[in-house]
Amino acid sequence: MDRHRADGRRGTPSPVTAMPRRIFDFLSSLKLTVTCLSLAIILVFVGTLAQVDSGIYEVQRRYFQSLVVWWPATPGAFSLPVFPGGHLLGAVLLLNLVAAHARRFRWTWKKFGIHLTHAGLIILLVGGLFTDLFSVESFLRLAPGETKNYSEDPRAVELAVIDGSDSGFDQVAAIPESRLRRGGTIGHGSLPFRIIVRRFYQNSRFQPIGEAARDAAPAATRGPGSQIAVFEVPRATAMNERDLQSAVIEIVPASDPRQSLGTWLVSGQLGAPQTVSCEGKTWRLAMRPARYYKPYSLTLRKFSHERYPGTEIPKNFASHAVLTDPEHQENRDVLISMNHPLRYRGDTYFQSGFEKGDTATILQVVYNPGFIAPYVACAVVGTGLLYQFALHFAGFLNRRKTTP
Amino acid sequence: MKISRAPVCLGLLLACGWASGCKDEDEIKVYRVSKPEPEPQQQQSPAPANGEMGGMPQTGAPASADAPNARPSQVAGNPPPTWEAQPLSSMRQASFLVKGDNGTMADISLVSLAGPAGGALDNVNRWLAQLGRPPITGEQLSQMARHVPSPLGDAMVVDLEGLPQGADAAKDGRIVAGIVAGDNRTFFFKMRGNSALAGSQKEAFVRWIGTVRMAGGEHPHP
Repeated sequence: MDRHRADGRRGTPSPVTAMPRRIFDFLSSLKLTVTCLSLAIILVFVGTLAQVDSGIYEVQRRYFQSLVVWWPATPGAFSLPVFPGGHLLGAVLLLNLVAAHARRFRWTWKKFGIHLTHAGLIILLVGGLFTDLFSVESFLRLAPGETKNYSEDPRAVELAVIDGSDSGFDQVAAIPESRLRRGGTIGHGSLPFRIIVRRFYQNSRFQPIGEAARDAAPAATRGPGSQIAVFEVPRATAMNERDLQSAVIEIVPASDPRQSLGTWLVSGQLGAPQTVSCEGKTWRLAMRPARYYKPYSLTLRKFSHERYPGTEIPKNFASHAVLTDPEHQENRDVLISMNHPLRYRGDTYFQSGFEKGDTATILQVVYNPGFIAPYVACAVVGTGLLYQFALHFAGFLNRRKTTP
Repeated sequence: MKISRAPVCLGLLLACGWASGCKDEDEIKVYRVSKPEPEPQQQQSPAPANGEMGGMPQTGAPASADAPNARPSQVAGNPPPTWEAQPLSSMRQASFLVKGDNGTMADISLVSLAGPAGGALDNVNRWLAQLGRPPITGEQLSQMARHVPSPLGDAMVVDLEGLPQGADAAKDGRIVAGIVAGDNRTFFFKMRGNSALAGSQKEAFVRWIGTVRMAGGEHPHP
């Protein structure tokens, strides 16, 4: 290959090194860069159009936070991979950048700025992947006087199976939505029963059985579900809407799986938790927004909301809270307002909104272990560009001096 | 350049694949949490002596799945004394029966559901279908609706008439309903029954909507 000769390597490679070399050539080629960038443009374009039908969160998950984009050939049963997803394109671009850099790397002060710029881009790509994989966004709703040590994800639910037999604490087994969606039998060592997911509704509506059509059947045999008909409805796609997930579950004792305790309808639409008794103990079942517990708590003292005079347009809103952390012996007042987030133990609390009548504050809670990467990347890229520019500028000035 | 850099790149590819797969979202988490302290409102909320709750008990323990009729309500209000309180069901936050002359009656209920629960127009059209009437448009709805302030929020009240085929006119023929769209929950007030009786109870029904609030001053939240 011509490029190899240009790089100074000559002769026929041995069979042992031929394959790695081909792979390395492929990974460091400019063609791969152009192909990946072209595919990324198509992915962004198609993903943007898909938001009309699927909404931003579903599109993010299917198109950008995946290795491949799957096309449901038979909805609910059979899917085909049709396009590389955002994670795959990002990973290949990262490898391409690293490989190309490694191939052409020659240490010289003249190219130090270029090296720095490339390093910054690598940090940016790795940081982006890291953020995508490990960051968690949730919300904390607090009414004045209320204390919470957890935040909630408004778009994902969990089935909490709560053992409240101890007077001091509740033992919770939280089954994530993804596990419920997969169906099948769910068991855990802490539970004396198994949960069989009979049906999962990504978005649902209830009707009292008396008001539903004559052929509508009760969703379950036990609890409120015995009086409710459940209907699957299309997924919520607007930013201000959310799915109302529900599931019909059957509970069987682990000791005797043939003996069913009945079926239950679990959903956030049913206000209070339900109960199930097994082997002399009672558990509470609650489908609720997925929770992220913290080793500290926040108590809202006061929520203030200023408006521009004579209008309802918010001027400023702020939450005056108390942060309590027994582990770190913290007990102090904190103020969270627009553009002044609270950062504590890896979490960042942004003043996000409020409820009607200012009855509660809503804080967005972001856990992002890779939040520093974009800052570092920008600093490194900026330094590299500045260095390279300064070098060229100095050369230009020298040439002007020496030119008669 | 050395060819030995190729395995480094392949290693990076594997690392990316590992990173993509290492976020286990299916894991069941088991943890202990301190029991929530009872809310002060619950501790200090003895039932009013003047019967303010009108058959709607104050907030209490979680409902037992096997005793839906014993489910305590999460709302409080001032219903007229002539309304007979009925046992609550898992769906009903409030339930009354009002009886008129000649065996006429009307059923009154308050149901709350999470989210927009289909929206006002869809629900009004569903009620119209129950009365054997054709659906209406959003514009027609805005013309016929009346708005009543309530502690839960603005209530949109509609009055629908119609007798479905084969229905008992003593118990059916009119639906007066109110919809309150809260932040996270929608409240449906509904009175369905004999047309003349529902008409005579309409103003009392609307006044009752104006008094219903979350028990203990709690803000509506799922």
